[in-house]
Amino acid sequence: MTVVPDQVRELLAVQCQAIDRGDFKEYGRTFAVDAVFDNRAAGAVLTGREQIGASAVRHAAARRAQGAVLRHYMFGTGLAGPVRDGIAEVTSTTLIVCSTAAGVAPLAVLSCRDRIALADGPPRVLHRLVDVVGPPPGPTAPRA
Amino acid sequence: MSPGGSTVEGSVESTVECTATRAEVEAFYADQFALLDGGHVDAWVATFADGATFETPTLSARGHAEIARLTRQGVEARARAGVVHRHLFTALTLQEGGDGVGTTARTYVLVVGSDGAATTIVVSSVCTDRMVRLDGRLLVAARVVQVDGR
Repeated sequence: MTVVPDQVRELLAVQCQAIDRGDFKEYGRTFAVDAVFDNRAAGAVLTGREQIGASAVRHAAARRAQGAVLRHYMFGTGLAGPVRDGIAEVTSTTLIVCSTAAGVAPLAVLSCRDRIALADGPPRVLHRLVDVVGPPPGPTAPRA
Repeated sequence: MSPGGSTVEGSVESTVECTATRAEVEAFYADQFALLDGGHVDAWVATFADGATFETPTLSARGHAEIARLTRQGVEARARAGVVHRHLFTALTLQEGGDGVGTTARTYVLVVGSDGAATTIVVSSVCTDRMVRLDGRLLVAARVVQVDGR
């Protein structure tokens, strides 16, 4: 088994926390300037750090309007192969959980495949492919 | 997440700051949450420093005795209800503080509950811990739990 470098784990953790707390400047910095985000779950291909950040801003505004807090729980992070030329191919699964004053519920389960640059500067995502896993999740659990 | 140097005479303030690796903190959380989910309250409380603080939106505790009392209440309530909780953590980030501050660990914690008939998400939260070291062992000196939607 190939061990996932700490740089990769840290990058993905920082990215999840940044988007969930609405820090889009930090979120954008986790992508390369010319990164490509192929979001098959949403049927959109975003090109470049600015477009990726702008898309996140729009989604966050919609969530805030609904009074919802989203968390990206990323599990099962692994390497698809050995790191070559400073680039890691990383796979993971993300459970998105939505919380409101009324309750908490799973929103979606996504598969994620990233090409991450580990050399020549801070770690950053060069390419991301996201797709939906399985059927829509179940109902909201009421607050205890 | 029920209610981290070396400690001298039981005071968190006298702990020595620590530097912790990602692998070390991940192992710490794996052990700590397994103790909680298993209902091992005394062993769970021993993962906190003497005089540690624990804060959530609905409760606040300081010291082993108080943290143990509140944790035991939750463990016993779940046992009576026939519910099992599992704490899953992801998105761990570490930040080294300045003099005497130590390592601050921030992680997402998803609590899943199962009563044998159904499994549901109980809580989505963010746990922020200040870690210290006692005799080489990581401990939580201060924990703040932010519960989403509350």
